[in-house]
Amino acid sequence: MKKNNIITNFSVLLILLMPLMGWTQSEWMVSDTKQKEKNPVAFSDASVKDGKVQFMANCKSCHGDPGKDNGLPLVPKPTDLTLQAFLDLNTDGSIYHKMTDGQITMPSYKAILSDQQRWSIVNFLRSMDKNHKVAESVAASKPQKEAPKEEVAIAEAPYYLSLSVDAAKNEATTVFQGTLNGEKTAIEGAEIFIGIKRYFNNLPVMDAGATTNSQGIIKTSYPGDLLSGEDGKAELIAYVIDTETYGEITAHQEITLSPAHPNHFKDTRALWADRSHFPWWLMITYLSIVLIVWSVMAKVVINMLKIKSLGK
Amino acid sequence: MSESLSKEEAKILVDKYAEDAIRPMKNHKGFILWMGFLGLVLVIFAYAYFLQLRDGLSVTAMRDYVSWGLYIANFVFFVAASLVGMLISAVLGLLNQKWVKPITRVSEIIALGFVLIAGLVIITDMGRPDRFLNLFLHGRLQSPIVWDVTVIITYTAISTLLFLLPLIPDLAFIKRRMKDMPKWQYHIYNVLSLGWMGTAEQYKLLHKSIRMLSIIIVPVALSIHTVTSWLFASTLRSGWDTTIFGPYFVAGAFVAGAAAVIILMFILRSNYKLEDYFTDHHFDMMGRLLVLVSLLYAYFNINEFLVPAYKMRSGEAVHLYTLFQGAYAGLFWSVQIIGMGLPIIFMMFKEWRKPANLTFIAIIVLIAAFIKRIIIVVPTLLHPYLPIQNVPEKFHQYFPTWIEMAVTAGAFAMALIIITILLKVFPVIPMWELAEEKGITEEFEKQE
Repeated sequence: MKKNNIITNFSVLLILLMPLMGWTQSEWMVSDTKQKEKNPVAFSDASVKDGKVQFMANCKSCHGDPGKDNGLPLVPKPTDLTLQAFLDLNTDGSIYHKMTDGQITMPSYKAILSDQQRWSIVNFLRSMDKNHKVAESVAASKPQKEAPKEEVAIAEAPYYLSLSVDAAKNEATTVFQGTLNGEKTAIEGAEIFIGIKRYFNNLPVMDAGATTNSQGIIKTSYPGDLLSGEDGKAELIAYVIDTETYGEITAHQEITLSPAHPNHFKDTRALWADRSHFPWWLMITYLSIVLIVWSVMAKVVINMLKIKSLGK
Repeated sequence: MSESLSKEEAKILVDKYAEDAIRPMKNHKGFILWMGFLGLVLVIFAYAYFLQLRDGLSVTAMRDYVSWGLYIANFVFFVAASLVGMLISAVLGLLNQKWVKPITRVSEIIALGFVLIAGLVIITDMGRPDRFLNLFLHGRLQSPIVWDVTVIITYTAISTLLFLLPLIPDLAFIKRRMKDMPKWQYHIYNVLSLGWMGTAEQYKLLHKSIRMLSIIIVPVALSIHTVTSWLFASTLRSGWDTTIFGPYFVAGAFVAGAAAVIILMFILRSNYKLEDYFTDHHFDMMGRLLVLVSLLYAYFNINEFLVPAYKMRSGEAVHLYTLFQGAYAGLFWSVQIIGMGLPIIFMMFKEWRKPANLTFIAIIVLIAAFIKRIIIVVPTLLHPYLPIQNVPEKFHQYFPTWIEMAVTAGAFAMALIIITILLKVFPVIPMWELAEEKGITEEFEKQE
């Protein structure tokens, strides 16, 4: 939650500063020594996965989904960091230092992400780099990364997304399946949004960047102490994020959170209440003033009529 | 007081009253021209207001931030100017200030003219005037806006009564004295004079009623402008969020109203040879009154600006800097110095309380009073606590469009038309009160 706040703050700040940012980003170069810095975090599945989680939580809000080039329409426009052109142009050190120092609209992540996390993001980006040559020392781990990708991704429509809830543990489980040879098959590596439905947007409860495991499952817990309505009823919603590949697939599940105790604002007589609930003291004051003043006027009018009758 | 007046002298004096009172009502020189001019302004107003009704409030310069502009400033000005009726005929009357007698009707006419139009000014500020009735159908009693509507209606009613009531003996008198008047005019006098015979009993009732109204109008008049100030002061905005806004507005209203009375007095005096009623002494006293209320107003101004300026709380500071040395500094300091400071100093000298000189000062004071209302309304709206950003450039400032100016001019024309017609139809000199003061009521009421 705290990270999300930081992201929100930064996003707001970025939007506010937008008009001030006139110049383009194309010339952002990092010094030679920094460019040549080597990535101390070994390229491994664990590191790439961690990098992906961090990317989804911190970078995506501006830079958009990896490979989709759908970043925020800021000036200058945040680059899709998985573009081959970007990856070719920037060394590991360069990406790392841009993240670390920031420039203009790109905030510095020095204080937000640890060294290790920042280097992991570099690893995550490199995992999409076609020209990436893994250093020999860590080459051994590479096949493991490539292998599963080729095996899966054959499952076809129709897709099935199920959402079930363990109310006792406040735990939600989604299972994502496709069809392979007429049979349901788990889809691995798909990103699924799981959240609680709200009026205008959904409150995410899953880990950012979490993907389905080999059984097509993502498990997440949700905060059961969240207040929701007088009966605590809420709706859990899950959908597949990659709508381009899979289409719009959603699942809903009713859950019970904590009941909110409504404060009956409208039922109390108060200054802020509606017109039928204005305070007694105000009504008495208002009406008595109006009554006194208008009855004096009425008395004067009666006197005028008396004057008239005296004149006859 | 004047028991020495013989029957003969009394008759001469009463004849003089009749002549002097009827002269402004009969003298039509320039009347057509003046009404024609006001009518022309009204035609322009009608066209401008038609455009505003057709195209909506976007024809004004009011936008998201400055949502109250010239119209509301003008409304505050009108309410302010109408307050003088209470000050002169009620407060000074109750204090037994004999010199105000001839001026009371002038001040009542100004009060009536302005308060009748003040409500209309508010309606011109509405984008959907057809929804005006909703204020009565769905208004919340908790809202100062509903209180404002209540007090304005009440004040209008009291002002009308306080205007009509002291007219009764005079209308009966005019009915007797005025020759060759149209039938409708005779009918008006006949109805409004309520069959006045001038009996002791009638006089007793009249005095009692006037006294009742004079007393009740004081709190109502105070509350009309206090509640108007609450429309501002009950919001959390820099420049409005202050506890002295009520008395500050009331003091400012006395200044504007006294200035308006002086101007009208001078016009009547020089156009209709009424020097015997609006004497140099009256101008001298009005000058002193204007100094008094201006000093009171200056005192509130010092409180209103010095205290927050001493603290310069960050939110207030933005607003105050704009007034003191920013975009509004020119207007602000002219209004404060030329419209308030210098007049006080000048009017302390007898020479500047002479009719022409005093009128000159009063005109400046009245213009400054109008500009001051704009300074109260607009700069505050330009400085919300959350800075204005990501909006079109023109949202950052406010300058009224010609439509707003035309509608405002139309409101003035309407008020002036009401004042002119009242002056034409009704005697501007409260004759019976003067006669009473001279002890010649008997002669005044003598049926012919």
